[in-house]
Amino acid sequence: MFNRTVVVLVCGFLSLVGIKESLPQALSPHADIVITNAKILQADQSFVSAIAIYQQKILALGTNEQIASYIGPSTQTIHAEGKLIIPGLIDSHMHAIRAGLTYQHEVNWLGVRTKEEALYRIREAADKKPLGEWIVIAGGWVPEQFQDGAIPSPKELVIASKGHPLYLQKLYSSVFISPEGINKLGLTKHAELLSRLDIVLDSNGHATGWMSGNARTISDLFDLLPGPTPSEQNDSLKAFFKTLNHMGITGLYDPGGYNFPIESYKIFWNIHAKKELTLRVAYSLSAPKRGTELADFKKLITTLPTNDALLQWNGIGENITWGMYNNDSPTAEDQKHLQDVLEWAAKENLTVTLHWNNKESIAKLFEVIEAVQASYSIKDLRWSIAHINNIDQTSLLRMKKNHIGWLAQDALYFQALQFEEKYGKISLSYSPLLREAINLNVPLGFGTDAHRVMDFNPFVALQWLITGKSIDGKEGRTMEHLLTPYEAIDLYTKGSAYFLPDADLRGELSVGKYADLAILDKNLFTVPSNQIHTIRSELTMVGGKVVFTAGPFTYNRP
Amino acid sequence: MHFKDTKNIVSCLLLLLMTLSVHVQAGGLEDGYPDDTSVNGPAFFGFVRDERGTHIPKAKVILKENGGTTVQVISNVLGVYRTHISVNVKVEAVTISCEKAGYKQLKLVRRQQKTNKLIETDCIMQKE
Repeated sequence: MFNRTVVVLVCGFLSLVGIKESLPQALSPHADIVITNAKILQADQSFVSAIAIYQQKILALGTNEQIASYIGPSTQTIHAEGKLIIPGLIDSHMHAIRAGLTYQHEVNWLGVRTKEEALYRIREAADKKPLGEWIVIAGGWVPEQFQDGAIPSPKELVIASKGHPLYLQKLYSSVFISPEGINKLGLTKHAELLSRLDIVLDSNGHATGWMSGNARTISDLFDLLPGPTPSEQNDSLKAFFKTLNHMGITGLYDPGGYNFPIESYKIFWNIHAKKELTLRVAYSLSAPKRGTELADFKKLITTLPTNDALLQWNGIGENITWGMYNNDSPTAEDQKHLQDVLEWAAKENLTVTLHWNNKESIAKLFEVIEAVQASYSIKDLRWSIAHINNIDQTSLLRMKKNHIGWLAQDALYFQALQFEEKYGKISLSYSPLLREAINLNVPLGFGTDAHRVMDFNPFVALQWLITGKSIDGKEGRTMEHLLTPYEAIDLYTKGSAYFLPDADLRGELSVGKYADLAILDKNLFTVPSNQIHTIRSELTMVGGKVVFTAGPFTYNRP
Repeated sequence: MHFKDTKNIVSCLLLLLMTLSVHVQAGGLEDGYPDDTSVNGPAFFGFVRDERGTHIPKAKVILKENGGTTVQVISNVLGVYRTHISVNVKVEAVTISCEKAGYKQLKLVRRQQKTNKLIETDCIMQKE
């Protein structure tokens, strides 16, 4: 009787000494799954045609002939029809759990280019929902995505919503609410909130339905909307994860958020407990309230479920202390407060991710991180700073010196215009400084920061990494700052994996790693670059388990 | 007596906050900024309306701190106003009145808030 465990150990040893494929025939175990006739992207940027998978991990890679020896009576074989297989994508900064809980409850304008298409989505939702139920479009679009910048008029929005209350949010800066919506919300009962909003008038001085305010005000307004029931949230979150699987995503690093208390994780944990999780989710905890952050963290971490290969609590962030969150002018007291929490995190060997927006104030954050390192080493703790679209070389060097990685996103795909207005065209031509970060060997992961402002589609982000063009098709980063398709995928896989607890098992297709992969419907290396955003996965696998199929692979439906 | 129309100042502040919000990120941009009460002091807000509850836009709301600053603000299209006097204002020393051509003020209705940083007062007017 063949001892498969011994074989796997031997395979692991062989992979360690550099033998990636073609085990001696006598030692070959039978794989659980073999995929043949593919173009499989390997870590060294070369391609092979076949892969053997055994007990969640990659057993061998090679030619069809080499891998044929791993096929036994119970091996499932998949003919990939010559399609590209990439490592499963990992979004290193997506508020996925929060997004997923309301995903099915809302309508989106992701990818919409014309106002007709935008109105169609509203009409479609109006036809499906019982009369009186809200139609909610909560961000995920910008006017620049519309041809000629022509977004639907208030009158068109009201007609399309067919008597349903309509809530349409633009970024975190303004909202349109239809007359039915205003009545339903009873907005006039919320005088304090209403007084914080700026009412947009038409040329005749009448209210248009649009109102603007700061991010806090818009968030408070959104919170007045009725939310889905726990059962709907459960279904919605699972559907959202499936949507991500359709986009080739097999892993996430979810950074919590300001308005996401620990109770909000329960549905997610329950999905995991029922073994219904279809991707690997690493998540960090944000501080629930101002002033008691350290005490709250100490308490919260005692309430978490045990980590495993799919569910991984990954430290604290992105909001660690409220005084150092979206605050470009923190006081010495704010800094000390953050230092106290970070010293505790370092002492406990916790991973940390920090939200920061502007290079102009990031020295304040580095001062704290450096003070922490006077007493504690964070070298191996995979700490990161997220965002900072206008980062400069000085900050990158300071990150590297302090063992801090950078979690970057495609914010400038959506907000190039605003960035250019603030920082100038030259700054836009090299921002964010991804090429510089790669050259300096700063740990760099990629993601979207979805949602509500950003699109969660990784292929939109990959297209932007490769072309530099923003949502309105205009040039952004110049040629020397663009990434190759290999580099772009590397950031979205191995780059993001660096920040996760099981980084050594993920992010690339090589022997001994998890069989997390996606068979794409179009070859990212040969499709016209302006079509990359249309790519989807036709078969997504997490740990050798098929979690999504489409097109020719539907017969492998999980 | 020192008069200042704070409407423009409030508008500028709103614009500034909106400009800032463009460049912050989706996940965490909902909070962290100081609210307007910590920057400008307690917020005085409410509706200008008639006895039947109809909102009265473009009414002048006058807030006078006893022995101190007077601030004027115009109610918006929904009859709503919001303004501040100063960080150190003594709320109990502020009197509120409203004016609009063709109307006379009937009464003020003060609503209790959870915090003394929020002062909600409706100004009830009647057509003359």
